[in-house]
Amino acid sequence: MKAILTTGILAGLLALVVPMFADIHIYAVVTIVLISIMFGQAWNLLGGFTGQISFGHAMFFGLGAYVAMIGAVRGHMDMGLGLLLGGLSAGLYSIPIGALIFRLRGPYFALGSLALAEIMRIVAANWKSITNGGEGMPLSGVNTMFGIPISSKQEYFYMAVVLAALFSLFCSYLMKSKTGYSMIAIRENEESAQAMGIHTPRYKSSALFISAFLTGSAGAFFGYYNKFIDPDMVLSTHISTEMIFVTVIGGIGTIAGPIVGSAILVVLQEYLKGIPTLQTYPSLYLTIYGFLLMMVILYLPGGIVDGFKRLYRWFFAKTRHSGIGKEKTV
Amino acid sequence: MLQTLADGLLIGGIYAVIALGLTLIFGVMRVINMAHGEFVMIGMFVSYLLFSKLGVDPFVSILITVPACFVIGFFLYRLFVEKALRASEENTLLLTAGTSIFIANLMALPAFIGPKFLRLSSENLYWANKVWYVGGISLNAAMAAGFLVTGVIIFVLHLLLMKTDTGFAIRASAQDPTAATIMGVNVPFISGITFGLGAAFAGVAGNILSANYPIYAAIGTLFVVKAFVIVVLGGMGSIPGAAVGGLILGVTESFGSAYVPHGTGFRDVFGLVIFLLVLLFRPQGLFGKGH
Amino acid sequence: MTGFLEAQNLTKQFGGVKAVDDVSFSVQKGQIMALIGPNGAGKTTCFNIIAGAFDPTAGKVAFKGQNITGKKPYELNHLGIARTFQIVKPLAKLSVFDNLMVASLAKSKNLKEAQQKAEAIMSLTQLSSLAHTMAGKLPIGNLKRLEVARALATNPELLLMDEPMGGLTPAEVDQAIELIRAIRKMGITIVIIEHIMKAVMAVAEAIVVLQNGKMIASGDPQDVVKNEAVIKAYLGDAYAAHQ
Repeated sequence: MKAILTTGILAGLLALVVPMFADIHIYAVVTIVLISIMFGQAWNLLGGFTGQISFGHAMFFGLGAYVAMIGAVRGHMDMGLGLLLGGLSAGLYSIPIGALIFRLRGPYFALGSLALAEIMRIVAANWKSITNGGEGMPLSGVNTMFGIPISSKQEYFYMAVVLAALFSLFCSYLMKSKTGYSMIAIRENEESAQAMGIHTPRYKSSALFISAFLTGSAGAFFGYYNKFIDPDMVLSTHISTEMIFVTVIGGIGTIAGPIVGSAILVVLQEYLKGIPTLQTYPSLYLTIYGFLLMMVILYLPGGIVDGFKRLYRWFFAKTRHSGIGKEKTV
Repeated sequence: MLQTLADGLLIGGIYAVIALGLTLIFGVMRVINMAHGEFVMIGMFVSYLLFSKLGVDPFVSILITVPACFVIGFFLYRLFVEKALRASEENTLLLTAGTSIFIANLMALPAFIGPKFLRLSSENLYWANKVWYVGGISLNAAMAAGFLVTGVIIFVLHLLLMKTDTGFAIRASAQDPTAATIMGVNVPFISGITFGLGAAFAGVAGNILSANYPIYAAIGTLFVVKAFVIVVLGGMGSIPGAAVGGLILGVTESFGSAYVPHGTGFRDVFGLVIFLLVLLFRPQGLFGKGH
Repeated sequence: MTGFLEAQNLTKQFGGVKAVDDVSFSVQKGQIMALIGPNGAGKTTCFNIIAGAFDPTAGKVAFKGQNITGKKPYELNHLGIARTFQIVKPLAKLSVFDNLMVASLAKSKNLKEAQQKAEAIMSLTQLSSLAHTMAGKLPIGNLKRLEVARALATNPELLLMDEPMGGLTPAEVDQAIELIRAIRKMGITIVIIEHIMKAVMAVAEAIVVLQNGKMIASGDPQDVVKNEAVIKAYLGDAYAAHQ
């Protein structure tokens, strides 16, 4: 209940406040933040909650994007159906992928997923008959969502708010279910989880499927919104690492993490792009991201969310000066 | 056909020395260094810098690249990686990934490589378009010389590991860090040395490659993926595995590009396909121990 | 004689070493059986075979008449076998309560049911006051109790305990003995590996002794303790000669 309330209020506030001062540029930035939240939550399910760090999630994002775009361009597919189909394709694709890479542990799993994503990118770039190769796929005309035409940046913004809220809520509820507990147990100690009756291969596959499905849907939405995709936009390691950045710097393994991470990082990126003296350094934001990631891992593994929690506790403890005894340390 | 084989072996040798660095780091510290490719890029940049400013031949500037990469690698390990290792393997992975992105994009700043790419200009470059002919096969001179350098490096590494105290300490740390500590090995220091060595190998490969290839800041990712494929193929932590794996990858890419239709576009996919096959049929690699 | 748990001719070879060499024993329902022996005797390896951590090189394991050799730990847990680990494996970043929730959900579909079970087990193992403490911050005594609690929360009929008293103070050992007796009263069959003879003699109804992978004695605790081969195994030939 609390989760629905919090998400509802945040989403509602966003939907009301932003249009009051937004122009096309601001809508674009906010929508990118929302898309980042979507794929951040998706990645987090596998990486943060189940403990399987994937460096190749772009393959799901891109697959969802291409399926949706091809459907729209060749079949005038409705966006509602496209989001579903994009997600489903990615989810189904994740099943054989999982069978392959879950044989690897930890770091090797990560690099294996990177390799698989790279294969998909190269194939997409070369399979011109289906994907139009490096030239990309443009989408013209107006898309419909369950029959309603969506065309302006503002309308896409509202769609993104709803989707990001739904994704976050879904993940929140999932993590409180038996599936969620099992995923976390696998992350903490896989052997122990097995001894407690958790069918670890099945739960890992399930986590991957759900994560892939959500990522694919996010990819589909990106395609519709951006009206253009190419292999470097949706299948590159850049997308995979972006998912990792917003989640880990924001706070891995928390629902708030991807939300906070996306907000701060995307806005930072936009801010840096806007400074005239820094125009000659287009990759500066990535240098900062990389540095931030290093600092977070070393000094604040729980991310910015954890940083806030600690600040809160420190502040709260200070004002609770009772002098009766030491605070209970366990 | 023999030509294709020769080309493949030459590039394979370079791949091998990059993979060697990665497998060494993995063997001793169980760390997958995501930033490994960046050391190749640093080597390429050092070579470019010294060539364009001082006219130093890329093979000569190896003498500068080696200590530079070694020092950067050593401190990277001691200051950052070591700390992350104490937390978890996943943390270390994310840390080195962050380091990779940091270094790659730092070098993309105009002060260094910049957003586009650099090339060693062909005037004054001894290796420019130079070809050696051996028994009817043409060999790219820089690559052939590089192959020889690689051979020397592997030989020197073998001597180092087998005949010196440091090498012994490295092997001990790789087998069992706790036992090594009890026997008086300063494992953190040795680990730093190993990391530095691995980085230095990658840097040398960079120097060799700079004679022929364009240098751009993001080139690291390409090499770390190839190196990883080789390490998995050869067996994690296996030095002969890295050497043989590198040659196999080089030859496969060479034959694949030459004989598979539309092969050149898919050149980088061959290695990835090998990777998948290894995962499916022999996950421990050629020289790795079976489960 | 078919027992509740039957190990038949179990052998486990690692390379050239036979960690377990043709070991057979039978445990009756409701019984507490102790598996003892000097370090390296193969006790934990036996456990690991029974608990599904690895497959035996030869031999088979039967539970309630059913062949369970080679089944995975999660399958075995569903059949009613739970185990604790010698080196405890708590879910470190979760609270004690959440640790038990994970275990309870093994058998309950329902969150509410699982919550009640978790609370009941915490009460039984005297962990209620630590319900919201992060497992990773607990001292060894509490961790060992949490280890048992997690196994109990999965509703086992057979509980395998691997050195549950290692690292405990004498007072904690007494508490552990009480807990084991309470578990037995719940109708759960227990097989326990333990070095602390005081505890073994206090709870065991049958003992199996292993040395170098082979079974050298089994039966009634009083008889086993006086068995010459057993004394030799623990205390050496010189001591046995003195007797």
